[in-house]
Amino acid sequence: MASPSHTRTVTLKSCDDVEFVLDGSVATLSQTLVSAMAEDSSSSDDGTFTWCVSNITGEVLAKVVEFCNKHADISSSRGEDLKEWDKAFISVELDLLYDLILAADNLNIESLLDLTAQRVADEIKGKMPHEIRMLFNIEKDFTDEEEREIRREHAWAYGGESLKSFL
Amino acid sequence: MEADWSDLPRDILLSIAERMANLSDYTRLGAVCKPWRTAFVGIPRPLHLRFPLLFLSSRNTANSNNGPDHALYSPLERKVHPVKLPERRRPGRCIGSSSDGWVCMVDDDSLDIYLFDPFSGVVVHLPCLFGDENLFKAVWSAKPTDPNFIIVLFKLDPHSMVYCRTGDAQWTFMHNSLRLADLKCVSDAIFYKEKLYLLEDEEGRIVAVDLLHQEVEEIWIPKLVYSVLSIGFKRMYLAAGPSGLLFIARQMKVSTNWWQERDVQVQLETGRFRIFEVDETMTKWKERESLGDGMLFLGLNASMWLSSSNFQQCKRNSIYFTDDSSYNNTFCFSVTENRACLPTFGLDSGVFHLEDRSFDSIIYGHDMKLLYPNTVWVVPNP
Repeated sequence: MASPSHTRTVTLKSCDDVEFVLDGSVATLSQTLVSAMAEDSSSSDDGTFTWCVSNITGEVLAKVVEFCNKHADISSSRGEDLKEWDKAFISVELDLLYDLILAADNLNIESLLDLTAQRVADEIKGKMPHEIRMLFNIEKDFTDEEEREIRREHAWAYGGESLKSFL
Repeated sequence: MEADWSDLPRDILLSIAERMANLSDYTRLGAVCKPWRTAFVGIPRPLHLRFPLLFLSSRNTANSNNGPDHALYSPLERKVHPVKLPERRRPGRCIGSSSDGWVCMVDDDSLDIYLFDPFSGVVVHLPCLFGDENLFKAVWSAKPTDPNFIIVLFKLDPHSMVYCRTGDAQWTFMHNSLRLADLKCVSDAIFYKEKLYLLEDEEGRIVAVDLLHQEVEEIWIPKLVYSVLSIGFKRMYLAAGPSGLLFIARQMKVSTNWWQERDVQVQLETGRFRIFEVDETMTKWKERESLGDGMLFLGLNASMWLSSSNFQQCKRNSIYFTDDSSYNNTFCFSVTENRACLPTFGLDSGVFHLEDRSFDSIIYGHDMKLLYPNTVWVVPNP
């Protein structure tokens, strides 16, 4: 049986058949892999474990693996340096950001979920609903009447002005 | 495949929403698309976004600045959010608020009285009260939807109280039904553990009223405590603390300000606060030098105690206060015209830090205070 503690390497296979080999300790960042390794009794005794992620492409999985390698490397995972690294890492196009979120959710990698959710939150802050729709290319599925009703209900949340504009 | 952001997993969308820095950003997320709107159904507003806001009411005179008659001011966000009153309601006066998001509004001309949730626009009608324009405070026991809801209104001159419960068609005078005839001047009131506590600070007395069983109990503030609480000019408040009832004396000092170098303004302003706590048996009194992690919000609202640990940008061990001196404590004298001018009110608000007895402003400028003298703390409901 393969357990996280003595699995030396994990092979991740993307939906388009790209393979990534991770150190066992790196794979433990993913709760999904930890559970899978713990439950798996059929894997080889040579300390390797293979896991297919059916809905993540090689391009996205490469980013995820890059993130995990960096965060599992204890010597570099400290303080400001890591923050700077995260900031550069997450400066991606919104389409890729979306795929990273789903991948982080699928593999249950908490630190990557935090980082991606924070990036989305930073994009959204201070924006009006129509600006958020435009940003993420979301279709307005409310009728005009429904939208008016929603705005009336929470009228206060739509008119934020800085102090100066009244004085 | 193109990203479909409307289809984000719900727990991720909620995790993103929780990272918003303020409630208005959070609220607007539900207006983006139907799936996002559905995601928030049944989800209480996160505690850390429920920092009290100020509900502002402008002067009754014509609003010359074209600003809104009513607004919510967010001290953390430093933004003014205009508030629309319910349809066919004229701008009114706010005489109270509670820690569950409601404000009590009075239209002094029509004597229309109602509760209003400025965050959702919901209104609860209250019976009409004819013949008295001196309402100055309202406190209530629970959410208006609660079957045990009771609201009490305080009238000045002659001093009296009326109450009504869920379903009542009219107000009941409290003095008649409860033989409270000797009660003279109530300075503050609060519902605490299902009783109404009335503070009669001239007498050093607290009257606990059980409206359900129509029972009245008298509690005298010990002389030693009362002698400290009653120093000089002061206003006194009752608040529900974490381990008992709190008595807060807001001690005033006289200050003189020159206004445009020709008019002198003499006003009472807050000098310091002193706090006493009494245990549940109402016998053991002790002065509190610190609120620990707590914060108090005082003013016309039912005084509120909140823990600062839920909020990142605020100061613990502090008292956030607004000006509730609707009976003018400010006098203005114009030197150039050699006559007294109209007194102003609404200027005495701020934050008092118990640790070093220092003051901060609520990032709420002088001009703003003049425009909106009537301000009340209100906590967004869950």
